[in-house]
Amino acid sequence: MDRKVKKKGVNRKIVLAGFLFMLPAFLIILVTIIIPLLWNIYLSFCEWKGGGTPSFVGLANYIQSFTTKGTRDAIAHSLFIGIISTLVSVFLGVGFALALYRIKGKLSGAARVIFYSPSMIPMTVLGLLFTFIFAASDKGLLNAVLAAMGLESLKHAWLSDRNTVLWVIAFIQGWRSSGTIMMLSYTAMLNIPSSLFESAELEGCGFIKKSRYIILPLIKQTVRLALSMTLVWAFKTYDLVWTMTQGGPANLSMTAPIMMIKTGFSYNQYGYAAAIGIICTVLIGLCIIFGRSVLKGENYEY
Amino acid sequence: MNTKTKTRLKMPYIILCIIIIACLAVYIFPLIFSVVTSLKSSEEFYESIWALPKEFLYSNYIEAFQIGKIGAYMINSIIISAVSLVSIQVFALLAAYALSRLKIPHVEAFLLVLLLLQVLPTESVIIPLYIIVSKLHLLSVPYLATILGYVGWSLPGTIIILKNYFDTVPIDLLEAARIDGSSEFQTMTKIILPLMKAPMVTCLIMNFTYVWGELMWAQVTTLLTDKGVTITVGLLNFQGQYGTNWPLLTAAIVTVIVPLLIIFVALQKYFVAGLTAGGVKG
Amino acid sequence: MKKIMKAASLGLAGVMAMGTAITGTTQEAYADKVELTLMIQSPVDPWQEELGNMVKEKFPEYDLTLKTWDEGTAEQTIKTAYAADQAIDVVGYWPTYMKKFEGTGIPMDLTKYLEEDEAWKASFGESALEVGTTDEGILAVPVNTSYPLFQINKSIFEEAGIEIPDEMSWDEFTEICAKIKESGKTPLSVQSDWAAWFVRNGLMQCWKDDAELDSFIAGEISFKDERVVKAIENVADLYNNDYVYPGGKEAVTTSADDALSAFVNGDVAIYCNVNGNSANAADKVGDKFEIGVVSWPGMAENDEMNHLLGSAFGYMVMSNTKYPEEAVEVLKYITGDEVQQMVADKGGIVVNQNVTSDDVNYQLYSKDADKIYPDEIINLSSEIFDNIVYNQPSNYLYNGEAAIDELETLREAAIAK
Repeated sequence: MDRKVKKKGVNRKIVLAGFLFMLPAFLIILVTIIIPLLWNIYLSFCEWKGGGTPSFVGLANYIQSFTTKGTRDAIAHSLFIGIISTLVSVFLGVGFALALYRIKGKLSGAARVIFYSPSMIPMTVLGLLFTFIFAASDKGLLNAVLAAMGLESLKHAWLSDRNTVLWVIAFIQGWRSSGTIMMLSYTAMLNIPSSLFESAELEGCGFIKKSRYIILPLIKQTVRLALSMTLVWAFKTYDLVWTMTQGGPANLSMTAPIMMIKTGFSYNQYGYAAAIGIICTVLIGLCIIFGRSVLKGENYEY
Repeated sequence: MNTKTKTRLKMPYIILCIIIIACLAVYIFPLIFSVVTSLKSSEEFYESIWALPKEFLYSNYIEAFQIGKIGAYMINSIIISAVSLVSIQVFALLAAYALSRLKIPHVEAFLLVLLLLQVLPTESVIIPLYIIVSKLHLLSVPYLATILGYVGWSLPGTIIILKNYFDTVPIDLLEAARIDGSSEFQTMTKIILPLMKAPMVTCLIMNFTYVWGELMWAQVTTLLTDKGVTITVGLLNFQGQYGTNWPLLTAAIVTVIVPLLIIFVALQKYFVAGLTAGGVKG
Repeated sequence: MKKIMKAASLGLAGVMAMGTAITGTTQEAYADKVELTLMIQSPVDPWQEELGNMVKEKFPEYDLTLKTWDEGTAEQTIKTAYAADQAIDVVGYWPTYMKKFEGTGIPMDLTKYLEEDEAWKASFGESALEVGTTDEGILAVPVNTSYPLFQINKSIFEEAGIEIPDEMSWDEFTEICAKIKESGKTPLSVQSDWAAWFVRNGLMQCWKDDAELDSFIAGEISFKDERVVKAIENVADLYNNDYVYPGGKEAVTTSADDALSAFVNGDVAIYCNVNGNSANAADKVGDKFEIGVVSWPGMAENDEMNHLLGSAFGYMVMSNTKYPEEAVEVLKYITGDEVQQMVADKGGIVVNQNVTSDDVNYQLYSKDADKIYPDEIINLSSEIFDNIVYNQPSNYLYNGEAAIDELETLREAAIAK
């Protein structure tokens, strides 16, 4: 392959164009995210009641976060929900994308819309629906179905049982974002040129073999990306948990975002809330770095 | 191709279709539940959550339209969404192209930072951003503060996604264009964009879903004004202190989701396989 | 290319439009009109539309922006606005929960306005203004009182052969529950965020006199005191004996709609409700069965100590308002006789002493109002507030003694301040 023509002038022009292209986006991100983030970092070392000026307290907030069981639990719960729901949504999303890629046609089109629809429905209605599906009483749909199938022993108080509440929340969150993963994976599959399938078809490969050896490896990059982004979104799960359990009962399903809102707005401890936020950011960062090194792979161009 | 028409009737294919349809039933359940609830009266709803409505109370939709002020608010939501989406697409495209192909140093670190920027929950970002926009007196301009927030918060995600898809375009193509004397802007628009229809539409849909349904920021920026209020804030009109009027709320929600669904269906034509393939040949 | 051109021209047009808008609005700012933002209308309340109309008619010279009040986001929006030095001039909030703004300086002290206008002050009656009073002054004024009560399904009581009491002691109450359970129905249903009423009332009723109660409220008595523990245990027993729908300690998570639905369908005999919402629940029941109203059971040995928790909804003025005098004027009007009579006529239970109503239900849903005790232990600190109001009795049911220890730690932290 011919190497690039190494003209210093051309290279510099390209890099300059690069920075220019990034400028508008960078400016907006600076104002809307970076400055608030810096503000939060500063605030995490202070005490602030929401009015007046913040007072510097050094590492006090961080020490309090690590030594308070409630905060540690909340962060752990968020991590749990983040990881489990990410796995659920990637599994479902990629699976559906493969299936729809295979099926094609009108059914595929309709399915894409329907699989994506959960993320369009406001959380208030989903909360109502799921509270009734998972209700502990016999009126709860899930319990009623289990009873009808003769599986009485599997009936649970899904949202109040220490052992089930976080799993249920993680599954619902995973279900809800599976549509997005599906769209991202499907789009990646569309970009695979059909020429790559020619030799496979000549050999008479079925779809399963095609998936394993052609499709999945080629979309691995996209899936890795989707994994990281979903992990971040899932960790932030707030409205789902708040609508269904409000972090209860007895803080069994308390998550980091809910804890942040409580300490900030209810207890007027904005500095402590900011510290929790920064800790979460660092934790997720570590998770992502760890995840990416585990899933290292080649990037494909076609 | 003859082989394709034959495989359509094979057993595995049919089983797959059945499985998908079963899954669809689960996914479509919330939508059906919303529609069914919206046609009931309040008393009926409390009698039995799951039952079908006795009569079809279409009047709920009319009432919801009035209470939620959906007419006026819908226009606001449309304007905010349109401007936000166009801005996000344009800025993200430029930035993603730059990160993908314009020799920016330390790209990986940059992307990691972009990803991390999204970790902070929106709630902790709202106060500082609100202080900024109010100090800059942006609140007196309708829509501006709302749009600014939405564009800023959607950019990192969109940039990362688009960059990922841009990476799949072979570098030879770009090199050839550069040698031919094309400017970077031209390269981007004439070569990359035609190949990126599906990813761009995907991002469009994802961002539209976010912007259309966002509540907290929309409420905060319109706290002291009547202008620029979105329909999500209008939905709050159905939630009282002692419980929600579910039939009316679901009627409003169905009204609000329908535009989303229509646009999504209309955009499906960009998702047909084979549209983008073949861009590499020759 | 076309797409980019379209996008660019849209963007340019947008910027131009905004430019004109900015210049337009800066000119507006020179006008002298008083601009007030009022967040006083709570959705679903039958009188909220008329309230808005009346205010607009009364003050045509003010530039009024009316926003919908939403319970879920009220605290956040008030505090966010204040942080950015924006003011919602008159905003609804519960005077009983002014503790949540302690130390923030957000609510404006209304004492001097009340002292100046004797008639206005008198319209609230003797003790109503106490609820909105903290060390920082009178921070909010009440417009209605809410307190909890039982709505009962008379048919279930009759079928089980139980006499319908007017008032119950705690023991009578648990006996009735046992009998109802025997007859095959679930005794009571209560939604998750209202279960704390049992605990809050119990914590007021377990003392021998008001002096002790006040001492407890000031944080001087330990949570490990056997009377406190007994009160909390009494509540826990309701759940452990499966008296609460749908049974077991999991009943603490019952949603509002689930709890109401159970009552409407005749599955439970007693529904725990707020007086202000009772008409609404009665509506949903319709003709299915006859509803009775019974006062909340009292744990106290001495009937005088059977206090009731009471909340009041009301209004406050944000201290950073640009027009304090005008805001107070509006406040006086909406708490005044004319508006409050309108509210009462539409079914609201109001605090204003000059309002009368012939409605039978009005009497029924306000008869326990004088049992309300103006202060509770939950006002000692926001952490204790949060713990008891949102996490009891579930904390005790799930964690046992550890929950009591937690409360004790919070109490010590609160009095140390």
